[in-house]
Amino acid sequence: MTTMRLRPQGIGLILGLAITVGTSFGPVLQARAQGAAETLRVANPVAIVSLDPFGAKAADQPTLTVAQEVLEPLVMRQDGSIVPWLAESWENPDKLTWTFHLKSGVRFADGSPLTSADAKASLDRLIAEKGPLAGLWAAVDTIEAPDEKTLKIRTTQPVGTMLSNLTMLGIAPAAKIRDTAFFNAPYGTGPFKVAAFTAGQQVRLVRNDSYWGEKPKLAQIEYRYIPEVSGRITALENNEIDFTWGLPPDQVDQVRGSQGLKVESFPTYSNYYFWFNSSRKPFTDARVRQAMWHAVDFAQIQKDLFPGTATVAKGPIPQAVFGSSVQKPYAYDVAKAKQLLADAGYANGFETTMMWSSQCCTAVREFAETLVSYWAKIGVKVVPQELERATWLDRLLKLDWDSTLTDGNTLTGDADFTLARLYLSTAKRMGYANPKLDELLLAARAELDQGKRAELYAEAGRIIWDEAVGIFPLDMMVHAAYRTNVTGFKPTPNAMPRFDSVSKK
Amino acid sequence: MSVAPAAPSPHAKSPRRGKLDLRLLVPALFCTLYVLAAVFGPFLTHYDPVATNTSQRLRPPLTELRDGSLALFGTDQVGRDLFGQVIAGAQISLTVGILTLLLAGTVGTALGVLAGYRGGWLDTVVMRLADIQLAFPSILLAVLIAAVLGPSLVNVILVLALTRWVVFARVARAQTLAVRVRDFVNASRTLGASHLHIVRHCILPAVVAPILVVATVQFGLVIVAEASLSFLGLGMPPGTPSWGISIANGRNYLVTAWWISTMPGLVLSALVIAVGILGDRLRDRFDPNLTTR
Amino acid sequence: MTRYLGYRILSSLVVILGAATIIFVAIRAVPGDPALVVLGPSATPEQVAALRTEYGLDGSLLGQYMHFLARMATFDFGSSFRLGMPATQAISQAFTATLSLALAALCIALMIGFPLGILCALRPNGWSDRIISSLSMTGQALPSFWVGIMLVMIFSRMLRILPSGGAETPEAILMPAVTLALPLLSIIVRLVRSGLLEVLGEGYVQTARAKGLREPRVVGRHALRNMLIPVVTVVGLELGGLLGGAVIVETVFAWPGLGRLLIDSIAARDYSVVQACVVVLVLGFVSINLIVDLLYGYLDPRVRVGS
Repeated sequence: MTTMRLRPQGIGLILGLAITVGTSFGPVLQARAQGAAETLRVANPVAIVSLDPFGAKAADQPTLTVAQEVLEPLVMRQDGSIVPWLAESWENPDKLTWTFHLKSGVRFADGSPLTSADAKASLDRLIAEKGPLAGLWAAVDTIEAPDEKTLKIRTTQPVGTMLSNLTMLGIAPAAKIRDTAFFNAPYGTGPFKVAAFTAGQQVRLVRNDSYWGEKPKLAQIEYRYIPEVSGRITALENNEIDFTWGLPPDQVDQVRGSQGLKVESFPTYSNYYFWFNSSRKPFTDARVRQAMWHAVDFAQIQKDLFPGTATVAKGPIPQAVFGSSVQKPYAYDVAKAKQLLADAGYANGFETTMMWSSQCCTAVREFAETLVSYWAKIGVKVVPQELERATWLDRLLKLDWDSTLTDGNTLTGDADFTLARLYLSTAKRMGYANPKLDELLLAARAELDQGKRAELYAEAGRIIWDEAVGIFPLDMMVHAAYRTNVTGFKPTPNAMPRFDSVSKK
Repeated sequence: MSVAPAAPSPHAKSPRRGKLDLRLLVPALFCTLYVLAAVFGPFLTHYDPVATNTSQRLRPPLTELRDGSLALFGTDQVGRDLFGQVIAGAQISLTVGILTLLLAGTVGTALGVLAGYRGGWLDTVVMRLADIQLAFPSILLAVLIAAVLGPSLVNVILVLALTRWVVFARVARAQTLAVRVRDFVNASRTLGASHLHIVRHCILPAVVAPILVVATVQFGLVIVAEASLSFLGLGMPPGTPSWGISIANGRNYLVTAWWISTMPGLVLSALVIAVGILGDRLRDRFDPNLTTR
Repeated sequence: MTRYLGYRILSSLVVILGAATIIFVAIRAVPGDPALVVLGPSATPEQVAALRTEYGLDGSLLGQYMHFLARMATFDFGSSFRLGMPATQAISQAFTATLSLALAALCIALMIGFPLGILCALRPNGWSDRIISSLSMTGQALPSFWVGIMLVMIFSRMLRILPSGGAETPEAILMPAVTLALPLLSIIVRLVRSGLLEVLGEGYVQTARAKGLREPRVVGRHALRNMLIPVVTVVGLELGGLLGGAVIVETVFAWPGLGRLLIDSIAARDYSVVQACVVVLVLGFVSINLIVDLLYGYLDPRVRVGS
């Protein structure tokens, strides 16, 4: 018993020591010198787990958000149209050939000049990695670099989406493209280069002082992952960060009311949509699907649940996307819904299920529960199934579901990315098959005349809308919130904020 | 793995009679109130978990709604009456609590008695299983099983029972071990009583009292566990008026609508505290050896 | 003693092996495909298959299991699918975070629990004892996820003085540590109270009093020291529980510890990290138990561990 010779002071000392250790230990990052005028502190809503935009994360928004500041594409989409970037011009000698002429005088951040070999290596790797964007390049036959400034892409069939696809391809130096260590701190021809990266936690970018274009005003950008919405807002209010985005509707108002903060809401390429599994009864009947649409008052839902954060959709893809169109709205009409159900032989309604991923989108549970409530009023009992994302994905791709609520992002800003990827009958995504629709979508993909492509997508959109392949209720807005000393932010509809034009007072 | 089991007493100390024990009576009455609310409440509140009313969402407590009814606890994020939701939640919590304890208690006690009475390899296997189970973070086990089975009332009960049987098994085993060697058991055995007879008439009676005490203590824990699982999205399916779900729903509205998370939490905490005091008191009265040292 | 030690170590190994096996099977029984989670809904079946091969998930289950066990022996758990780094690296970062949280919680619990327990024991059944005892009863019963949310609501959202989550600033540890400390605090108050009451009735304390020592000295020098053993034991055991029990608290406060890593990794079906996490947690739990058990028997020869 007497072996324990701890005096009370001794205990106090140990406790004090432990507290010190406990509070200063490990991942607790010391707050950096705050308010450094040239450093933009950004809190991203989703973890950045990789900086390699060529591999498995090629379609991952957090990865692309950082990558776009570092690696630049040959062409860029600005205000809806394609503009030259690293390529200053291009032409089609025939329908299967694309020739790009690269800008001269562009150098990577390490000083080496940009050549067509770099562009070729980048595209080669993107295709070879078989990542989620590889499908965009399925028709590519050969990629050649006949001289330092010319890139020649030959395809097996005409590809109308070539330019849109190229906006997604950042060019990395050919010498480093297969070096995995390079992607821990990648650099390209872009305005910034990566200085430090801790997967899942933070990224630090520094200005590329040899940038060929207009030099950015910021010296540094620090991205830090703060998953909790309230955590991001608090950090913003406490001047621990300067910029964040991805705020849910109910918290936008709180930030709007805050002094020294600014909220910018802008339309995006993203929308909410609700799919029927058209290969399962009773959704095999278009009248049932249309009835479900007529049964819900989406204008009311928008007003109550998504004020200022979403708009009632006008077509199956958001209006900011190339190839979008305005369709005839479905009126909220319970009597008509019931009539349609009766016509289809379901006068007494039916029972079905609706699944969604718990990580899907803002206010998804509220939205889903409200839908269930509306449908109950026409006698359709919908059992809600909120699933983990992994389980949801598994069932989605196995077509093991009745209906699902989710969100979609037309990443490339081109209707093909959403319509042809999902609605071709060969995609087998929601059990809907329509030869007429397939024909339109394939024709649009092979058409090099962008005006004609837009018309074809409008027609395809009409079929999807009128046949109620899904319900397309709301187009999403994105809310960026930042401190008022941040100026020059230009929103882009791909919901991946860029900071090359931003400055901080 | 275990610190020496506390020496159990087969004969529970008989409760003092005559004097009203307020520390037993008050929490017991409080719990009865919950049972009454759970059984009869839904008939009075007419709560419909499916019916949403977005135009009347996020109304603060004591708001008069458009149909003239009073929202005592306010309305939730889709305009449902929070008071009705909480009452309906009581039904779920109590159902889960009672059924889980019945299942875990029966299985755990049976295994514990068996292990203690038979000893040998059976004892080793059961106790090693119990060790693994204890070393395994129980919330993790629940998360995994819930992810496999999906959210539903039955699955929640299964999951929770699976993480609770150990407690019962350990107490039952310890009691059995202590009783097994006592004179009256030896006497019965010498007189030719069958194993079944000995277990039924000598061992079980000694096991019942401590098991009931453990059950009371565990009741609160099970209710909290259900709420925690539902909170994580792995318990009851969405749309069910579980307290855990209601609390989770309110997380995005802590400033605009503080009541959504606060009210169900208060109701839950009050019940768990009452059950805790009750369990404590029962433990003191019936089994002084189980008290905290 | 050596035989007993050998037996204890052996059965600890059985427990670790059992837990490793359970988690290996359980995480694969959960529907969902790690490759699909990484690639997202636009993936084609060929891409998914290619990634599965890369992750080493295309072999037989038994082969994968043997591989897992063989590597586990050298404390190698493979690479994280989600984070692209060795699982052990992901875990060591998270482990320090959880450890600092657990230690902070322990300090808070001890610093508040000890004085309160002593206060209770000095005047048993007095008003301060009653109030503290019922408060500690309450503290133990409150659901920690709700306590966490209430703290966030009050201190982050309404008063806006503390960050609601993450570990970016030093003060971010306060709320999760307090939430985690609450149940522990209640246990410590009770232990100190009952332990002290017991000791205060014993002979040598009476002697000290009779010698004319003042009460603070009696309590401080004589009584307190002798009831430390049971407190140390229980606190040790609780620390093992704290490491695993931090899951909910870490989720609520987005604390980058093992608990949240585990939940995130399960959600991403990141098998290697989930397996590594569980093995580390169980290893920690088992070792603490072993040490406490042995220490207990060593310090107090009256209590030799039975069976």
